[in-house]
Amino acid sequence: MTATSATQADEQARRREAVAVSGWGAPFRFVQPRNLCFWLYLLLVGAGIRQLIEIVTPTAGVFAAADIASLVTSGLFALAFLAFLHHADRFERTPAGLATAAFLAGGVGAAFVIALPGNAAVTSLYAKLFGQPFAVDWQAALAAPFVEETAKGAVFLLVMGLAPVVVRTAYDGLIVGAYTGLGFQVFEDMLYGQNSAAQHFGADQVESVVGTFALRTVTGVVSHALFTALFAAGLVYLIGTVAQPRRVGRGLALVLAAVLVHGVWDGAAALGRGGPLIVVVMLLTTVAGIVALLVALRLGAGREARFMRAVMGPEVTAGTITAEELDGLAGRRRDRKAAVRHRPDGVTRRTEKRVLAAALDLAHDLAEAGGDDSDAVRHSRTEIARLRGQGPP
Amino acid sequence: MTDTVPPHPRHRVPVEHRLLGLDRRTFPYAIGLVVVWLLWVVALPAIDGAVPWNDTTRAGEVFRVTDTATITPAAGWGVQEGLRTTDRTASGDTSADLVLVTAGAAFQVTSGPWTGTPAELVASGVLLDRAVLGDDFRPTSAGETVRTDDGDVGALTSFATPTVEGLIVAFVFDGTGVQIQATGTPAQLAAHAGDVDRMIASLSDEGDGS
Repeated sequence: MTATSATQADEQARRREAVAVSGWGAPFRFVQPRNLCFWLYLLLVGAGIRQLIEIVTPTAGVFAAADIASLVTSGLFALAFLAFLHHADRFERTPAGLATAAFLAGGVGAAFVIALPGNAAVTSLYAKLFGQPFAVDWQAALAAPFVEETAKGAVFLLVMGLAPVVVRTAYDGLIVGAYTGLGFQVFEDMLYGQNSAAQHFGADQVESVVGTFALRTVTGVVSHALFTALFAAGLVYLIGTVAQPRRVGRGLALVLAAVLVHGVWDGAAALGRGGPLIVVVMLLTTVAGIVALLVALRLGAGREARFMRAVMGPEVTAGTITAEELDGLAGRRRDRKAAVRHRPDGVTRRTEKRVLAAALDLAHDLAEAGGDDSDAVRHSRTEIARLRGQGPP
Repeated sequence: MTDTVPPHPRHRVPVEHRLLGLDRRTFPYAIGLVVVWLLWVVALPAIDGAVPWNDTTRAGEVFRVTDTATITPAAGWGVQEGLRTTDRTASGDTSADLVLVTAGAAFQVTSGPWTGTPAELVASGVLLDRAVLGDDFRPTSAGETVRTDDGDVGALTSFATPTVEGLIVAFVFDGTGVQIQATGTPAQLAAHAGDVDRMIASLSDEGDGS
């Protein structure tokens, strides 16, 4: 055996191990009769749908306009966030079935089955124990972050139990957690829309819902999708998996960040003493939330980047892509820019960006094939060559 | 000789992980959800149910129901929601929905933007109550006029269902609607009719010049 073939064999072994450990490309199967999480999932979502019907159906005739406006506006909000999640989910494509399962469980399960009764009990207790002024000021800030974050976190755990091979890293936690939180947010917004119409005694329903939607959109960065992304990533660090070594400190920090950002956001009115300081508190909370998310993404991406290097390393050796292109695939935005800048002579910027996108397709195809060659893998390699002008048009 | 182990059938759980046909490795994830569910859906509501409301209205106390309107409850009703005019909040909020209860009866005041008449506001309340209570909802009087001690004029409709009776009263002050609903078992509502009438009559709005 030559030194070159030995190196290639090592690289191939590393690739297979990375695919196996990371769970990249693993399919998601929803129906799992041997999985306790599957039965609990059905129970939770079934109970949530029943609860939703019981809440919405009696007043559907009176609040029809509000319900339709809520559906439209919440749908728009969800679409915008889904586009962001799809963009952020660049290392491993979350299976659509898994994303849908997380969205639904977060929306109807966590929100209606757990958070509604939990919030009601906690806020009632605050009023009983500490009086009405305390409840008015702090019931949202001191109930929702604990009840809702743990509810969504538990739902994320359930989804993780449905897909333990797919959800293995903190980065997976960020993405699947965001889908869970997005579901919660969308269904909560629908309820807020109806509440807003009720506060107007049923008059001007569309206007009141759109007003609520506008407020929620302007402040939409700090939302349940962000909170749950942080919380779920923290849970993955706390639990530890075959692909993600346990990091208790980091996990606790992310879980606490989610609870803290949520709590301060909900308590902005009281913390801002009812004046202009409220805007300052909300701005600072938004910045803190974004910083926490960016830090979590950076930390989580490190592990995914190592998997990407292991999966695509042999393609550099084989000459399918360059070392700079691999840096761009596994690295940050500036690495992708550098890859485009250092493109081979005669290749346009536009073409190089397409090559990077095609290389990402190749990585996904390799993951789905368990690190081996497949028709899809061979097709993706041909696509890269075609884009470079080296293959058939 | 190869040491490759043939793959096991797709849906078969290895025996050491099997319990009642289920894969025990999935239990920790499921238990996480059950623990959180028990905490927020069973334990906290039970604790809440065990802690009594101990905030009751005293003679002369005044509650603020809008930024400018107040109401003076009868003494001895339990306060489940609402802010007294003497309450100070960190957020600067001065009013909140008011929910008062006594054995078998409830008195609730809500407010919000309203540009219509008091009669139209009562009609909106009737529409919503009918939607929630269904065909059991039966108006027993409609189009009645009520007057507060300050002389403000509102509209009233009373209703009944097989189990409860109630009334919906509405006032409008400068673009803000105030809707009052009193409900209870027929006997309890009758027993507290005096209190309910006095509380409605005590509604006062500083902003309308009355």
